[in-house]
Amino acid sequence: MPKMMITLKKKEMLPKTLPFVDAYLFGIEGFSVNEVGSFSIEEVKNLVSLLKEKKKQIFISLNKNMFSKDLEPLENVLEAIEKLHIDGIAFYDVSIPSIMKRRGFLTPLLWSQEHFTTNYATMNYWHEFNVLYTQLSCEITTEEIKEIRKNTNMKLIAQVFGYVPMFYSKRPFISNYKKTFSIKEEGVNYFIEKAGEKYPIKEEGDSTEVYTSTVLNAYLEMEKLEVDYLFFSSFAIEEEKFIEVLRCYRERDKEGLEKLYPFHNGFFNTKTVYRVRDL
Amino acid sequence: MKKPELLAPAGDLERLKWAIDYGADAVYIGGPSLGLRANAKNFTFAEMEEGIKYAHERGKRVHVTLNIVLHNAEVKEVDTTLEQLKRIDVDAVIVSDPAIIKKAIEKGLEVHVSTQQSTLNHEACKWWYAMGVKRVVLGREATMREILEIKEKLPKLEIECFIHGAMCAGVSGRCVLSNFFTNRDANRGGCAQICRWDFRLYAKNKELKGEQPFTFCSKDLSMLSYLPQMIDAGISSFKIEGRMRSIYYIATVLNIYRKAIDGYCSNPKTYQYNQEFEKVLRNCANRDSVVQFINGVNDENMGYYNGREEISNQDFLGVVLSYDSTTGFALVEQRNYFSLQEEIEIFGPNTNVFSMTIEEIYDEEGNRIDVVRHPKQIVQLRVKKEVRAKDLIRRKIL
Repeated sequence: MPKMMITLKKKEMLPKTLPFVDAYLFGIEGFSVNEVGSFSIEEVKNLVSLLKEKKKQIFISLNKNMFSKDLEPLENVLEAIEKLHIDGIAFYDVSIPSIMKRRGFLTPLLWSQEHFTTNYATMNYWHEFNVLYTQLSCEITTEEIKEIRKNTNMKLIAQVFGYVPMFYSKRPFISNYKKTFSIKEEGVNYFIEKAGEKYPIKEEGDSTEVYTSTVLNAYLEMEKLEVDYLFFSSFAIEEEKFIEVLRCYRERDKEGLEKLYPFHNGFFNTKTVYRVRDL
Repeated sequence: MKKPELLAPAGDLERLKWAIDYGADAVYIGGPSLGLRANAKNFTFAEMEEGIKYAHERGKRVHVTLNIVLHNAEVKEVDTTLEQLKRIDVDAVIVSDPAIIKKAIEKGLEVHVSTQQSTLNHEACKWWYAMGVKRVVLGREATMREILEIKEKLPKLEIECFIHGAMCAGVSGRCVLSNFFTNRDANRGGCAQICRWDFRLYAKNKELKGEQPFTFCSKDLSMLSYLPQMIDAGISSFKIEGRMRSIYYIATVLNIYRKAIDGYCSNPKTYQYNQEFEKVLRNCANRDSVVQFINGVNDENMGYYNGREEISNQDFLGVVLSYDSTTGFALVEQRNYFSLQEEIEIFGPNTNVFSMTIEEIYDEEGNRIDVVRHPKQIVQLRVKKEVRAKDLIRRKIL
């Protein structure tokens, strides 16, 4: 059975998830996007000691695009993480392996360029640089994942549950829209609607994230994936429901799970089209 | 001051030649595989060879894009593709995938890191430079601070920046809206531009309704007003977006930027930003353009919220095929309807733009006509100044 990895959005979630979860991924204020949670370094230190006691694996996600102004604080954060001896740092921006190499830091890395993690050759490139894990793209098929499995020593992580990030921008689209049309209402739980489908949209600082309209629930596919970790995103999922989903996956309670969310395989069985003429 | 390279897109061999003729120092093209514009016409290897020969004979360069997000199925194509590109003497390959970058460098190719990597800082640049990369195409979100800092820390690394054209609403490579909405793979050349669709925006279940629908649509990029600062910053290459753009668009944009770059580099003290140039650029794309992220301002003026429709531009009237200096007539191939008394402008790589009123037109049989209404119709047009083959005729921009 692959290990179960979840995003930890808030500390309060922790006790209820412990029976079902093997690995936790969480973010650090100012360095993480796509709803992986956001903690201060001090909070992280406490979480790490707590999770280590419980013999859980710990991954920290620093998955935003880094600008010049981010580099100095990033290096400080990497230095602090290095002292925590966690299992891995998830990165999107190449500045992270660059700093890690220059400073001789030994914490393993997790390649998390979410839509680029699509083939074994690139994984093997990164593997030479202490990148031991890859979070697989949600846009590839089970067959492709199996081929990756055969051709790389990377530990593979595949999202099987939750809303999937499909857009990240450095533009504050909601604020810009409200400002343009003098919309005063303050809102929460934003979504955009098209053809009856509702897509969660979230603005944070000057960035915008958009997620899928349906919850991925690839229970039926998980055995075939041959990955090392199954990844569960808790974004926009009620906490109690999320815990129940974890229980269902852990205990192989297919019927219970289906009552919570319909099964949805995402792109695991659907190849995306390369050229329009192939449609 | 080092004059930057002016780098133009070319979707096919014909456009490559037009781009070179209209002042590009280099062009970037897509080959039969591993590129990110699967729906552009793209080049065969034989066409690439011909294009490279055409460019090299004129002292220009050809860069080939290999910036696809690689899937297993293409891994085996990489070696062969790189070897073929080396054989036909391409000047550089533009790559986003580090596995391809490594192989391309091993095979002795000059490598430019694609904007798909969204490189925005000097630490990331250091990684690429240490691999042997010659140039990094920065992410479109880079501000002047990023550019100056990278140049300061890595003076030998060449920096390429977009100066003109359409913008991705999302960070390059971090948008797969197209995959989920249309099953077309955004990072493999299938982008369906979902960012330009209209949506309804809700907070909880209450619609936030402006006078126009919510959209992610971005205005285009135009860096004309920032050109001096960009040249002074030491950017090596100024890139124009758009391998699927028309000959008219490429020629018009190149014509303007060529003049602006040459003007500033020949005498920075007397150079002045030209509002007329900006007007021509906006007209030819038929879209508003702004400087986007370069000045660190990231506000509502960067996007469209006005429910605009994409109306195709009818300004491009014809191409000069030849000129008879004894009669003062130009042989012209029509592109859009025009008629007598119309105000037009003619411009070309060696023809300074001039305007005139159409007073005499003859068809191929020598009959005097009032209107030219058929696509690709050949006519004789009396012109008031000497023109040259490949000069372009457009409706006068008011």
